[in-house]
Amino acid sequence: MNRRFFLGAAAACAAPFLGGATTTIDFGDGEGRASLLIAGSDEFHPYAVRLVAGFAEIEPTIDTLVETGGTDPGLLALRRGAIDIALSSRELKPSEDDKATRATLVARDAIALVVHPGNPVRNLDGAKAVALLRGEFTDWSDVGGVSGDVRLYRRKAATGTQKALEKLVLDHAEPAPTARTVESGVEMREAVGRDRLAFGFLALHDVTPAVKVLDVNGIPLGRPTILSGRYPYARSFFLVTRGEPDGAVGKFLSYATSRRGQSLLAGLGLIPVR
Amino acid sequence: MMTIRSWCVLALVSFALVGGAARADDASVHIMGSNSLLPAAQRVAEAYMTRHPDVIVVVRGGDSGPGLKALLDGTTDVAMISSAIPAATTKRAKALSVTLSARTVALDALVPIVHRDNEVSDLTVEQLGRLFGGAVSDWSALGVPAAAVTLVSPPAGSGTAAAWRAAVLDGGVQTPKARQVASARMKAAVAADPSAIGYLGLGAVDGSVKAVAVDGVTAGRGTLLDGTYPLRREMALVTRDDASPAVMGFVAFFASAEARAAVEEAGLLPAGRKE
Repeated sequence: MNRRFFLGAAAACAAPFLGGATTTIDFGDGEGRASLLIAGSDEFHPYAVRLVAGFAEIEPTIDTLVETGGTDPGLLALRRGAIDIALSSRELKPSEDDKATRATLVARDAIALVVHPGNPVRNLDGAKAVALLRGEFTDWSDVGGVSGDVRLYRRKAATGTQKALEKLVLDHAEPAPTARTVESGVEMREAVGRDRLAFGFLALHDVTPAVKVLDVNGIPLGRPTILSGRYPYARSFFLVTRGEPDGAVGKFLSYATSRRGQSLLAGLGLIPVR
Repeated sequence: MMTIRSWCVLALVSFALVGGAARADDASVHIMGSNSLLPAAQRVAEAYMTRHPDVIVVVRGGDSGPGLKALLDGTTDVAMISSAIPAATTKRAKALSVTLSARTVALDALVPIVHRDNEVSDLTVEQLGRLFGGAVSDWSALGVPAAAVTLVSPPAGSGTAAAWRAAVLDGGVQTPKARQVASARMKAAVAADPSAIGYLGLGAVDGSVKAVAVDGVTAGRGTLLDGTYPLRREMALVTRDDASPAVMGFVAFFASAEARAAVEEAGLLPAGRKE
């Protein structure tokens, strides 16, 4: 694949939506300009977009494009040399991790299961959490709580937090259709904080003492258990490259793992790993 | 007054300096590798971060082989291994002008496991070698009712598999008939098949399968410590000679009483008993 062509074509498609924003970007073969193609995980993508924006501020001569498409196609495109960096939201399989492949961990993320602070339940094992979210358990006494109908809350299907829940907790099983949909993490927190029978979930950065965070399989949610990998409902984001990272690839990896790049990701609610 | 103010300014400046240093890029430690050592490392990492809130310790599994590969390509700072460093790794490190050093942190027994209904309760190292080398393929050759043996083994990149080859096959080749399953699924695979035999580290064995004694000795803390149990291995942390002080600090922490307790809690025996 002709990289220059791909970059130019993608930019041409994006231009009408971006309007004036693209006018300062020179996609010609201007002297001294470098290009960087990044693609992969849909889960990682929204964060990668912000990382690329931060990178552009300090490296204005590198034209960077970041696309979705999924972890598997991203890794394949990387192996074929069609892109420079693949976004992965999981560990590589042994078959993908050949000698030239390098997977650089840039952040972790976790989902908190939350209830009203007055709910006596403190811990759920994974199977019970799934049964609650799927609507198979409908009473708090099914999981050792005080009898009362469980009221489920959820986010819209397209949101990152809802998708993370369905992948990490539900393992892609269908959530119960009875759940009430809330518009944001803040709204979820407020709803669960008001409702003694509520069962909801939050991205880590939306957690406050207004809600009670449940332990999972006896493991409390916290920075140490997420970094150690013991808390089960966590995911890892990797930048995957091939060969010795030099030029624009090396600069982007350094930025993503630098204090500046890491604080940017922390500001978006992820857990820094450097 | 003046003195106090100067002191305050000094204190502020040094606070800023210390704060800056503590949050520098090298205040993170990435450790990755052996799934057998993973539960112990996770507990030690959590204890370390509780003591040093400014240090980030990230722990990942993925087996010994991928851990060493990540150490060489610079995507991890510490590799966890549950068998000796392979010659190929040492050679690759030399080509990259990197010196690796290993510190043994735990001892473990390799335990043969069978289905709970299997009548076999004791095998010799030699019998295990004939089974996993492919010379014996029916249980009747070992004095139990006839049935084709299902050999189950962890993936080739696993340190458990490498340590088993070293201890049971004397470094020889395991028969390709062995079915490879992820370490995490080993117990389920053996529990589901009455004619299966597999192997695990001592910390991972539970009542869902039957542990087989080796040369008449049952694996346990006592027999591991007194050296009578024959199938043992050392688990180590491997670092590069260019490791940061933060990395060396974390590795050194494994010798502390707190870390040793965490290693024991994970079912392993801490190495290097204190006198």
